[in-house]
Amino acid sequence: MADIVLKDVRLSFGEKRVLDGFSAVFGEGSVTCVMGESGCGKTTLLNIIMGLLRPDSGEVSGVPGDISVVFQEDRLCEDFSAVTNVMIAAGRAAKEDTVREHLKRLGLGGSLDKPARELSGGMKRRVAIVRCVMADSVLMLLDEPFQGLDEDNRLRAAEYISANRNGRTVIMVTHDRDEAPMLGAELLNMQRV
Amino acid sequence: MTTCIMSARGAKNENLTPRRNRAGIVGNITIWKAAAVLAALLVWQAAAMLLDQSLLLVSPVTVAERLFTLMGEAEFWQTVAFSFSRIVLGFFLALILGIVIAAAASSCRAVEIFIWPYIAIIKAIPVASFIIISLIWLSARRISIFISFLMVLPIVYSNVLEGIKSTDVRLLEMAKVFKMPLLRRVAYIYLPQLRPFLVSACSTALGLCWKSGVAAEVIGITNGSIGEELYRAKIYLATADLFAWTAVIVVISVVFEKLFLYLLKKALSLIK
Repeated sequence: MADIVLKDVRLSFGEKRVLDGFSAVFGEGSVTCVMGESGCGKTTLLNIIMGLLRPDSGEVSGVPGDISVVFQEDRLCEDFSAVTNVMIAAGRAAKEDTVREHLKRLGLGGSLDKPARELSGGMKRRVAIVRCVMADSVLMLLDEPFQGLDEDNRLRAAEYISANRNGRTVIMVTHDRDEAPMLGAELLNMQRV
Repeated sequence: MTTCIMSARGAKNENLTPRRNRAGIVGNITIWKAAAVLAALLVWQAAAMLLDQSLLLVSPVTVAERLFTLMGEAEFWQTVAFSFSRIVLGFFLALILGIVIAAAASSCRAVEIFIWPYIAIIKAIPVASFIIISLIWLSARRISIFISFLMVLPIVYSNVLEGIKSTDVRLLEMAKVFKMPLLRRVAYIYLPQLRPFLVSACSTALGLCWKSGVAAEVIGITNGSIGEELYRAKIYLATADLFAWTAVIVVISVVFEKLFLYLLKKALSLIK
């Protein structure tokens, strides 16, 4: 995998310009924390990298095919259990026992087979984190991954991500300055256009 | 014909609220419904006794007697099997094709627009016109298959298309990013979303396919069908037979609908 390079990227939603000549390089295997105030285009940036949005102009290169994500909203299949939610996204290589073990590590041992709709916000968040980590990917995109988690779970989740990163590139979006050191991430500040 | 697009999300099982439902209804709603049916039968019996003309209105007791007599004859079961197999075949063909073309239309706007006039025509044309046109094209033995198929197709198509369109885009984006295979997307994202639409479509369509299928048999005077029995009852002014065969249609239609919907819900809940 090469470095991910964004060069002079511009994107507007109607009249509103969200990214105006944004450029950045995310090195292979690096961990970067993208920070900035609400509405400065952090989530838009991730959406461009994962191919859900196409920039109006500029270049995006080096984005690998295998990406896993913690979305800002959990985006779980509500009718299915925590285990199933991880299994269906993690690919064929993931074994159920391993998935259960990973979920237990984030304190979800008592809720493995409950439908996602019966889980609390914090529990759903942790399922989304396990899903992202266990997916067969070379790039992990984390959009506010610790929102809704208490301090203990936040630390536990950060340690879990770091321990299971396996050299993958990580781009984390947050507005909380304290979260960057938890993953040992470089800081990248985004300014509102 | 009016096609109903109903979301079953809001529908609640009335049996789950046994204490107080609406003003004046206390206790289990099923018992109240059974009481209502009994009351209706009593009204029918009283009306028949007051009128005292079996040609115009036979009593439920007479109908029940006639029905039991018919059920003792082998020909009765052959007739039921004949109509049942054809009407249900038409239903299943429309169910499969409706789902397939709805899936195609949802993935390609051009397909949806291309299919639109056919669906609009089927919805707008009266079923009687279709039956008469079909009699020119097809043998009377096949007409109920075609008519029940035609009546079910737009209902299934419209509901399934609506269900697919209302699938959570954010989940589809998640599936795209995680490169979920198509079968997994169908099982874990589309089917849970489609479930209420599919159940609602089948519920509406099952009632309609029986009504239209038997109507086709009556007009086409299909040999060996329930429709032919109704036609004969009219010709010979055999009111008891007319009511008995109508009761048979109602019972088969309701039982099959309940059984099919039970199996459908069971099958959809098997995905874990």
